Amino acid sequence: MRYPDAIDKLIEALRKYPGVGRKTAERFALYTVNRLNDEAIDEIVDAYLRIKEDIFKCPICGNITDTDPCYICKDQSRDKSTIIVIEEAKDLIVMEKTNKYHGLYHVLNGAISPSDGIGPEDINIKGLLVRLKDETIKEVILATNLSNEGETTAQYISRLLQDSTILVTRIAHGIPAGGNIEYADEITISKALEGRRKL
Amino acid sequence: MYIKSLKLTNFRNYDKLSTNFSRKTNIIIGKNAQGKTSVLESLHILGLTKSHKLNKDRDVIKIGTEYAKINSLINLNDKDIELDIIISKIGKKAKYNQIELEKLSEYIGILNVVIFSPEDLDLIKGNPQIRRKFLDLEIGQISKQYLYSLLNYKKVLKQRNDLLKAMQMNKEKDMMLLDILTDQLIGYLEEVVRQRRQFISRIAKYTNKIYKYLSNSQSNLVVKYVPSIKSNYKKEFVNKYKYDIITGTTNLGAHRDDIEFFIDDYFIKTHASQGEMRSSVLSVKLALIDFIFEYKKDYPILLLDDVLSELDEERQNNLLDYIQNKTQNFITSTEINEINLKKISNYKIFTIKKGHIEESGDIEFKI
Ligand SMILES: [Zn+2]
Repeated sequence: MRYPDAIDKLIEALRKYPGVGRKTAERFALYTVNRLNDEAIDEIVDAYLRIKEDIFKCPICGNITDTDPCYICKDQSRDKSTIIVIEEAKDLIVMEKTNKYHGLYHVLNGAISPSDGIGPEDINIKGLLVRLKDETIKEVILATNLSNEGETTAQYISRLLQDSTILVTRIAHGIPAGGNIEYADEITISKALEGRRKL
Repeated sequence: MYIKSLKLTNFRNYDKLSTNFSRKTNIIIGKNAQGKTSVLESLHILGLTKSHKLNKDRDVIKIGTEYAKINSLINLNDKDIELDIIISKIGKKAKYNQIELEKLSEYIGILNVVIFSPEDLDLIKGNPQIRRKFLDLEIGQISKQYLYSLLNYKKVLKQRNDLLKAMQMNKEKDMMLLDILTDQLIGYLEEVVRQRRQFISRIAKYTNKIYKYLSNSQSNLVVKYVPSIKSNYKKEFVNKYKYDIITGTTNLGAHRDDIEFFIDDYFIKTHASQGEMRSSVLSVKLALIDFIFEYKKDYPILLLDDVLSELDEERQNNLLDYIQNKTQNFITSTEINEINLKKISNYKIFTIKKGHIEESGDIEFKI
């Protein structure tokens, strides 16, 4: 016995999420059929459509945004002499919560990991180099995760910049080895920013 | 430290096994393939989360069941603690007083275990991989820092090998990325090699003394650490960049280390008799007991799997004298009369038949 085609399609679609296997996808799909009314389904469809239409990556910094450029790149009051380099847009939200930093960001959207087929050209390093040419940046703060991949990425960027006059620093203080920025609390992040070291 | 009681569920050929142990010596008697080695295997897993045999974790799950469980009550510094290991087809969990530990590395080292089994002759006869497993298992028992560095070494090594594989096939070669991963690898390599060197020099001291004692001999048993790179790590790696790219793999490092054993100046692997090999491995294993004591101020559990009968009377007696009043012992044998009970002061005897364990008549002898 098979499900009607539409349900099979939904199951397959839901499996695109990480950690969602066949069984979970099947449960969600059947829940949609049996428990959600038309109104609820419209709400979901509408939310997905808005993601598709309104959300994109900031062409300057790579942040997730619905304005061009994003609210940070647009903000004239921000200090344009420093850039914090991070792996994911969610790290930016953690950094902003500290209220200690008023400079710019650059989102790489990943970290170098040959085992996952991700090389330096697969993350947004090129965009960073372009910005460093055009803008008045004096310091680049590397705030990739303290995992092996995050360290590799930080080292890679720091070597690319070693002949430039830009100061390159790395956060460290207080964040445990192997730690994700995303899970660090605001105080730890503030201290890590204050205690950054020159690379 | 000692094990007070053990419960096995769906472990190898046991549906259920439940027993209390003597805090001194436990002698387990049974014919071959009745399951006496499985009891020792379960105790090894209880301490180190891994079997002493080269098999997959899930091989210990009784056929037709979903998971194997090892429950135990142990005594550590006069406190009773429950340790449990649960092995399912998808992985294993370790519990300390019924609380699941997030990482196995937090668990390893609570209960220290040393085993001597017939397969251990491979420590000398076998390939270098077996000797590296020995290093990792034994140093891991006393150093979390070692487990951490080793785990990261393996992770970075995989990244580096995957990069080399890609470089082997592509025309474009990112030498800068290779160099960065090499620096990162060396960072962990230094710590792994430092601890391996220190470990070998510590146990070599004991090993030689014990060898002389066991075999009443004047000869020296020498254990040598043979690292893949001796010094100038970065230079050696750089010299091999081209070769690494051609072969698509990392040709130097902790994953190529080895240990060598000598009696005086002859190489045991190629020049010693079976008996000398056995005495040599036994000396290394007994050295581990003293080594662990040096760190933990407490002796590990000692598992002797079917090896007493392989030793001549003099060596067996010397061995039993040596461990007297140190370790809690678990000794298996096919026949009780193969063991010189006069040399053991306080013991329990268990008989194993077709996956059942029974404590024999007199519970504790005192001589
Ligand atoms: Zn932006």
